[in-house]
Amino acid sequence: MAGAPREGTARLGIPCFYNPRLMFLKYQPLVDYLSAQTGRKWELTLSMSYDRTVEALCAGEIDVAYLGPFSYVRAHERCGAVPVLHLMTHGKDTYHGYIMVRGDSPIRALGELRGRHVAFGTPLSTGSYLAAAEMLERAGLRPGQDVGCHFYGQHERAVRAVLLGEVDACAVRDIVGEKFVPRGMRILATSPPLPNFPLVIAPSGVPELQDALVRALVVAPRDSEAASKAIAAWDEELAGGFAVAVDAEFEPIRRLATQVFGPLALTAAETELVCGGGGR
Amino acid sequence: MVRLGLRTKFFLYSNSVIVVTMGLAGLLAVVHEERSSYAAIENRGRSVTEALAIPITDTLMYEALGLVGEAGLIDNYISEMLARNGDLLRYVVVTDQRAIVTYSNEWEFLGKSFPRAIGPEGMGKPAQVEMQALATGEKILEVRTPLNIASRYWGSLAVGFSLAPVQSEVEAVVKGVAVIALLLMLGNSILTALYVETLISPILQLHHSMKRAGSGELNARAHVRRSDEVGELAEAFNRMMDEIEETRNREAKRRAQLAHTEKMAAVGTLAAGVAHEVNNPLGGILTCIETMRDEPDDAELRERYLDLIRSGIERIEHTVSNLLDFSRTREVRLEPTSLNHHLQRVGELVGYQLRKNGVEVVFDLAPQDAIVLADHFGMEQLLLNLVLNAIQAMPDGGTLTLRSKCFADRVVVEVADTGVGIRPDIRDRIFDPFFTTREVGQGTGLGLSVSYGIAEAHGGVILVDSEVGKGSRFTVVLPNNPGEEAREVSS
Repeated sequence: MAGAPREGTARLGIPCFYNPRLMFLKYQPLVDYLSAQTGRKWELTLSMSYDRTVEALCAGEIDVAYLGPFSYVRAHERCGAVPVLHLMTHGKDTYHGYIMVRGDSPIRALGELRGRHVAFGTPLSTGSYLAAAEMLERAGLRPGQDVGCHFYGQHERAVRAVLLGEVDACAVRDIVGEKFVPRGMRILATSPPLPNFPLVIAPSGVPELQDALVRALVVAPRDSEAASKAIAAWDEELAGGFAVAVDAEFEPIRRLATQVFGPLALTAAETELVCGGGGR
Repeated sequence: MVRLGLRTKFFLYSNSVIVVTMGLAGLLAVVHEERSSYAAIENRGRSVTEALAIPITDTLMYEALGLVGEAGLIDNYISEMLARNGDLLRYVVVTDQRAIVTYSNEWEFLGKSFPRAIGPEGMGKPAQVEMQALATGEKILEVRTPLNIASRYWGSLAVGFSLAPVQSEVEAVVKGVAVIALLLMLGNSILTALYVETLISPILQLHHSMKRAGSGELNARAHVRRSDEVGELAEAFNRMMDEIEETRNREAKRRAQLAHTEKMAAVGTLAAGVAHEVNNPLGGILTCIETMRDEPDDAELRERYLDLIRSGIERIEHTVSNLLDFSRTREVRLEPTSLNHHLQRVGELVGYQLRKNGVEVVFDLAPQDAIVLADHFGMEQLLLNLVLNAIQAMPDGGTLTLRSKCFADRVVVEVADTGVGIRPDIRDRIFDPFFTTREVGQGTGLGLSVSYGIAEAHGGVILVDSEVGKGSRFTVVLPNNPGEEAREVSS
């Protein structure tokens, strides 16, 4: 993936929130839309981790990255990456993290998770770890000490671990958690609003892509019914479209990360960020 | 018990044949459809399950190797498989090596043991197929196959396929057969309505003609023009009726001849009396003529004797005229007839026989007269036969009673004697033709037979009461208005 972007081809990098096949199913329509709207060929580039995507963005291997809020602030810290747009979920520019248990679980409050095991996505996941760790701490439970930490890589796998009885609870992004409510899961706790997922570009990237993104994802759906219909037909996660974003929106995430991982939260390697701290 | 007509029977029979035939055909079709539909689902189930097992096994392997996280992929496979086979696919269950359900569209199965999971011993063998039933009662064909690569066992896959389509196919066949049967029955009913007339109408017409014939209408004929068996039957019926009519005509002619024969016999019987009746005035006339010849100048005597001669000749003429009247053959004609008059006239005809046998005649006639619609001469012959029989039954004298009575619906004439009576052993045979108790040459044996025929032809009967040594009574009962009943009258 090394090297400058090919002339005329823009690359959108996304970490694998899901299995790669599902990633293509969900995000290829976005890439196709961008190709159609911008007159430039767009290509989807998947990475197996948040950090790898950040690294590719900062190295210029990809032109635009679709990141979680925590990963974005780390990218900003690393190479001055800036948000161009953020996701709108069901009309809102924020989303939530959930802590969930099985519907038949006796656990009714966060405090009852003491001594229990909780499944998370990755330490870099805002909804599936950062927000949950803050909620647990607020409930007087320190991950890694008062509750067992288990990282399953992706949100879906964390939920499945609860359903299979491997752990007692899980932390997931709202849009994933809600999908499992009819399938036997119950929301135990909801985080405060979190700034939504941004589309990020590196300062070294192709400058006109920023305008192209705004025109394609903000202006076009506002002016063109066809564009707005195309976006509405995307996967539920993306169907709400995008809005213009600024870095200041992500200040709460910086504070949250520092609170959970300590002062090195934005610069430490992903592997150094462990349950119960690690970044400090 | 309900009597079904030919038309109804034909309708019921033909429709019953359709129902039975279609029922059997439908049963065969249902069995065939059930088998082929089940086989189709089983084949599709095996294909889908074995095909699905490959990517699931790969996904489990890649995740175990840490290459690519499963992260919803198997759920995606399952949901895509459900979307593409939604008509049949009811559930997918993936179990791990411990037979614990790890993936399924039925979320309540997750984390639970699946007792039907295929263990490592199932590797290398064909997929297992087994019938199951959901809580809803829906029948399921469950196909199970192990998830393995070579001899490395990852778990098992079970896929439930609905057998509802089998039922649907069977129901469709049943409905199709029922619709065809109904259409056939409808078509049959229409055909029955349209063509049954052609087929059955001649039979019904023949039946109607037979009923007419049975009620006595000898001119009843079946007007059927067909070249088939029904036509032959109708022709046979018509020939039979022709023969019956001809026989009846011959019989009528024969009876007329018999009646005439009997009349001539009666004339013969009367002839002696007539001769006597003629002889007496002739004797007086001769005496008058002789006296007048002796006294040719006695004008007063000549006048007186000429009156006597005229009276004697008139008496002779009356007697001969009566006999001629009786013996003459006339055309049969029904007209109001006075039975009282005929009784008196017959009494006159047999005056000689009465006197000869010393029989006293007593008339007891209905005061308002007994009038019937009848043939004059037939009635007269009937009564004369009965009266002659009565006189002959009283060779040593007795009383002959001639009585008439009128009722609302009938007229009765009685001819009663105080003669020898009729023996009980021959009483049933006295109306048989040629039956007689007299010596040969003394009677034809036809009198009572002819009389009975005349009464019957007028719609009446003759009843007999008799006691040996005391006498007999013949009662003729005739309908008050026998015009319509009168069919054949012989004179």
